[in-house]
Amino acid sequence: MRYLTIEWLKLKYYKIFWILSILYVLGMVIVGGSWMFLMEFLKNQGASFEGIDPTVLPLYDFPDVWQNMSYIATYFNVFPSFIVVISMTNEFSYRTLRQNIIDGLSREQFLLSKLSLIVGMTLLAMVVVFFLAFFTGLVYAKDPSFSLITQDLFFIPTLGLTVFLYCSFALLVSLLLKRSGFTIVLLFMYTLIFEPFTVLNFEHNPFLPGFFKTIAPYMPVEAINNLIHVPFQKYIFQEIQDYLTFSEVFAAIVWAFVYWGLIYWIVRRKDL
Amino acid sequence: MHNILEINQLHKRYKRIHAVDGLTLSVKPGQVFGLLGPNGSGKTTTLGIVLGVIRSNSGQYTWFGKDHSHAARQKLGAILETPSFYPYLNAVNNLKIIARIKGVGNGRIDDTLKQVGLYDRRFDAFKTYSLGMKQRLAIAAALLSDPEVLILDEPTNGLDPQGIAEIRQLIIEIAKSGKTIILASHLLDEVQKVCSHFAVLQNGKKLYEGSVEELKASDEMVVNAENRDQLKRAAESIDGVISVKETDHHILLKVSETLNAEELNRQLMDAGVALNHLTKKQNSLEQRFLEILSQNQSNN
Repeated sequence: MRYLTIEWLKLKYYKIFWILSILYVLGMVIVGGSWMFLMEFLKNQGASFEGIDPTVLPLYDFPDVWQNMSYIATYFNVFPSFIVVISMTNEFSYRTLRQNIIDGLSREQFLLSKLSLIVGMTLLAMVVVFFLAFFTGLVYAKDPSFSLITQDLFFIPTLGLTVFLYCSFALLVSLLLKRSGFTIVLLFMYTLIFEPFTVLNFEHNPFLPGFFKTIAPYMPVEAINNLIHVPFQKYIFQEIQDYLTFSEVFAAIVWAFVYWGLIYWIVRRKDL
Repeated sequence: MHNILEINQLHKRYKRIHAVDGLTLSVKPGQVFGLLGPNGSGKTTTLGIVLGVIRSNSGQYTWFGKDHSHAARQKLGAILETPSFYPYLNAVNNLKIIARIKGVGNGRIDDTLKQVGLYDRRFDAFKTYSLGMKQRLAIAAALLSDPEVLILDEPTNGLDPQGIAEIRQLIIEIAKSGKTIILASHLLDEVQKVCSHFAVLQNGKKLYEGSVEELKASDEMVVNAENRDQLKRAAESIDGVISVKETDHHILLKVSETLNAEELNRQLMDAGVALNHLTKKQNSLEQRFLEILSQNQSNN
């Protein structure tokens, strides 16, 4: 708790933190909450999905809404990771990491304060998505019965795990690169371009041995993305994965340990 | 009573240089200890090691006779190089973070800000402060937990003459309140004005360690007379003359502070010696410092 308070005192009056946090929450709420309006708009424009009225798509039915909203929320994981990057690289550019240690934090305690920030972001994401899915479900779902509502609730902690993992990854990159602009560019280049194309190669390049196809789903960002699979093909009657597999969760937890192991190792041996 | 800081055979090597080379030091309670040396002599590296931000290659240090953990650092007040604060926060909010880290309440924030003369600007963001104000906020931060020990690294660096005078006055006042102070500086004058003890560093090695008082106490008088033997005999019998040394051209008398030139002259006249040369040579730290450096260079 002491460590979370220290982070809070650092961020409480920091404008960029508030802008990013508000954009994060608003982004999830607006995008997650407006699908019905979008469908109505499409319907009024005369669009139809193979003859189906788009507004009858059960996007918000329990229990599907948990997966749908959690999946949408993963697209906004950049915001909490942004906050983590800025909070960490600031400590380098203001030389306050060094000053915090001089003032009496141990290096481990400093990491605990960053960990508490990441856990805080994780909890924020879980709370927002829980209420978003819960209330949109109550409004739109055809059958809001208790047994359906409580089904598939595990998507909320799973979303939390994706936030935690991506923020931890961002913290690691921040520690390595130290400068915010560089870190953000590299992090997003890697996430959006570098790894997706590497995975594409691993899966489909006929010149690579089969081993690469096996490890492709366990690449850092891919391992995060695989926790919550795309749910929307079900509405055009395709099979989707609406459960967790052991290997996916295991890979995610292994990455969490790898990230924090490296973070700890770097911070321990660094001259500040 | 335990030594405040004990450093034993400390080494720090960077790729090309040996920044701290077998340094051994001890600072006793109540001392104002100057760490003196030219830029790049290893002062800041040494302080960085004992403050936990730089990893040494070998050697040990202890605070308060037992501890080198973060718990010991909580009981210190330290400034290392430039003042480091969150620029978007005001003085009070910056100090609140430090109070949390030190595990003390917010009760002393106003008092320390008054003490360093920043109380009127306490709600302005750190980034709007002048260099002197930043330096004073750093001192306020160091004083926040009312620590027994203050560590100040080049506290007057980059300040204008008025700022320098203010900070020095502040340090002297703090020292009077009985706190132990460790002050790193490349300014001899500063160490002489503020410190009770000092060590000279060069290339990471300790060249000298002693008290400022010892140096001040040994003023020298350069005298000469026609009859040198008579002069030497007479001088030896005078109270306050510590030693008599003959050089090619003069006689050097080491005298205590209480014996001034006029009194010396009168007493020699009474003994029947008329001087044809009398100059007072104040043995400043600067001469001593240059002497120490040159001795070391000729040894190498």
